[in-house]
Amino acid sequence: MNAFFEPWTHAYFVKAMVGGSIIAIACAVLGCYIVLRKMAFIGDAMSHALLPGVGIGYLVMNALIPGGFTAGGLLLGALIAAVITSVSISALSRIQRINEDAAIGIVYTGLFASGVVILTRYQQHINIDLNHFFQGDVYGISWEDMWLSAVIGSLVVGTIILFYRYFTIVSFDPIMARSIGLHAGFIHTSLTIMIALICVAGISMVGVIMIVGLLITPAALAYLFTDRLPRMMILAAAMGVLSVITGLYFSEWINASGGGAIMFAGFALFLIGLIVAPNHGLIAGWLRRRRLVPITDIEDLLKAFYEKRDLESVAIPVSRRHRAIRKMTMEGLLEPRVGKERERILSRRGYDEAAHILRSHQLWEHHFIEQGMDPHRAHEAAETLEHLHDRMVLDRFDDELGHPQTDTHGIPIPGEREADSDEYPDLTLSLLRPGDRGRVTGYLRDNARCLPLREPFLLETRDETGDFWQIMTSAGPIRLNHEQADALVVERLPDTDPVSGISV
Amino acid sequence: MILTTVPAIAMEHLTVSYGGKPVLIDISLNIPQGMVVGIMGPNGAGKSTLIKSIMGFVPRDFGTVRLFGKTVDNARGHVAYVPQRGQIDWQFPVTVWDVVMMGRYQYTPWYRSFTSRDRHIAEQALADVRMDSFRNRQIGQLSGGQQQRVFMARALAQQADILLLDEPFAGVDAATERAISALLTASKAQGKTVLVVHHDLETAAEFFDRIIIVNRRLFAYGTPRDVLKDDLLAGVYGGALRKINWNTGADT
Repeated sequence: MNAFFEPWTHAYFVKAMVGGSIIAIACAVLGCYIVLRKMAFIGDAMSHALLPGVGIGYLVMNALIPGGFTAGGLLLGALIAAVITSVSISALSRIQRINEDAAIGIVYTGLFASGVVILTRYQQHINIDLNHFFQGDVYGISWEDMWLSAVIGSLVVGTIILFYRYFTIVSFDPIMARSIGLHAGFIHTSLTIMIALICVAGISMVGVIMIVGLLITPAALAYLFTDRLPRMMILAAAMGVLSVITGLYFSEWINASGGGAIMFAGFALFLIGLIVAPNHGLIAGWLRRRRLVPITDIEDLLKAFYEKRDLESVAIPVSRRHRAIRKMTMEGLLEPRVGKERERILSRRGYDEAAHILRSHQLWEHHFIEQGMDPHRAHEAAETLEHLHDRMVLDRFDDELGHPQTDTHGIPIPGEREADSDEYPDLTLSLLRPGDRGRVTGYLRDNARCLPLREPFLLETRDETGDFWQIMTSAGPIRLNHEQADALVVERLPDTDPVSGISV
Repeated sequence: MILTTVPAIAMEHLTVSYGGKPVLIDISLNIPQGMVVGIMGPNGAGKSTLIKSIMGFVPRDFGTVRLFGKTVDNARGHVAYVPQRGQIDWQFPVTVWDVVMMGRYQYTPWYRSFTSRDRHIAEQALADVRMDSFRNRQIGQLSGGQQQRVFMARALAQQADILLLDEPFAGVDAATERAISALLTASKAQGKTVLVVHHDLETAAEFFDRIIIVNRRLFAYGTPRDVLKDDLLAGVYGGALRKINWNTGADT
């Protein structure tokens, strides 16, 4: 227990906790917009590009008031550097052949390098060194830094809370924002300035890399956990503070750099979150994929039920088969057999669906054989392609093959039972089977107006080669040719005798 | 109160260019209030620029745009825009309710919170598009048609008199198409003027009272029967052209 309480007896630890948390909260809240607006790279660039501003600001302030109020100089210098960065990035991106990402890379490395030159040339006058710029000194926070970060932190969080609606709508729908008189450029600039402010406040504590980390990582983590922006902000702030707390303990226990430990803790938290997050996490994704029943499994099983084959003959693992059968029952394709509740039989809808898959297989196979493919290969091909059973494709094959009633093995090809909802394929008379009842609901071609609309008919016979269709109406028998049968859109009337049940 | 005799949108000699290239050339037209108008034309014909000029987003080289007799800047609150589906980040952490409330932002300065009247109007708008039972859903968890309806609800909550829709029928299923079409009719019944950027010549006649055919210049403006003539369309789209479905490029 002592390991937990002992550090709090040191003032430096308490100050690090408080100062670090303030920065972490402000970073996290601002970071939500950075992440949502996909500005992460700009945040990174901005923070590095501040170096020359910080250096010059320090030098100038020190020259004016020796040993005096340097924080103000740092702040002003950083803000000027931020504005220069922002303006030059957008100016550069306007030049043809220089994209924004290239512009960012050029500007920030250039400014950063000039900062390095200034800092190394005048290092005897500046008490920030490069190392400090990068990783800060969380255990050496001065009261001045503490106040600065408290003021800037409240300013940033306060601005975001007050203008929450504006930041949100500009980030979400800039066109609408503009149409009600809000300017995206202005909001973008305010976010940029806030990044610069936070960098200045945080750099001496945790350093520039950690600032970027605290801006991006907690917000990205929170985004994995929630669908609401206010919650995302609160969660991100909590994650930022948690990173500071665990990181500081960690650095105390193993005697490592405070800033580094904080960001390492943040990264570790992110990894844990990435794994366990409820919807977007890795485990959730894995479970979802596992629960997913491949549609091909369902279709293979439907066919087996339809053909009354042993389910063992379907080449899928037993556990997957059970999952598929559960799902098929849930979707109403299968139902319990009356009296034998554990047994499953095809429901009416399952039967139609199965017939459709079988028809698909037979038509694909028939099509390939017609094309001169070897029957064995045609069967294999149809086994794969039967899962592409779009009505548009099948009806086309059916028509090309002369609407065959049996497949190449002499097995009957089931007819389609109804028009495909919404989508194109109408049920035409040519797709019916002898014994089917129907009535005409429309004509695809005018020369097919030989039957009155709404008059029920019975398809009596048709010849094997698809030359004629003989139907019986109240007015007597009518013989239709192929073209007419294709042009009559029909609705199938229900059978008088229900489909007999098919058992497992 | 808006006088019904004033046209909702009046353009006179509107000319817009981008970097020396003319995009809209001398467009003059009056759109009366309470019309559902389709804006059609080939790609790059200036359809979106036409919409943007009504929102006041593009600098005009010449000419005027007046909404209910006022300049565009003075008529800001009168116009609501429904964006193209592709322009929205559907993962953005906002709910259906959040989006519809955005329609009330323009009436709510930053120092004030929403009033119960704002909430009432938003609720009514959601009910109008029959999305009230989805109010707590994150917008990415809706179907394409539902997403479209949420943005329609936002436009209704804006209580604007002119609705601008950018390709609402692109890539939606038949059921959504019917739902959107019904909404257009309902908005019209409330006296709103609706402008729709549209691609599909086949369906244009059933959706719109008037059709604007634009290809930089105004080629035609009138009822579908007057405008959707093969010889006219061939002139706009160039070449021997029958009815072309521009979404797929397939000849139908």
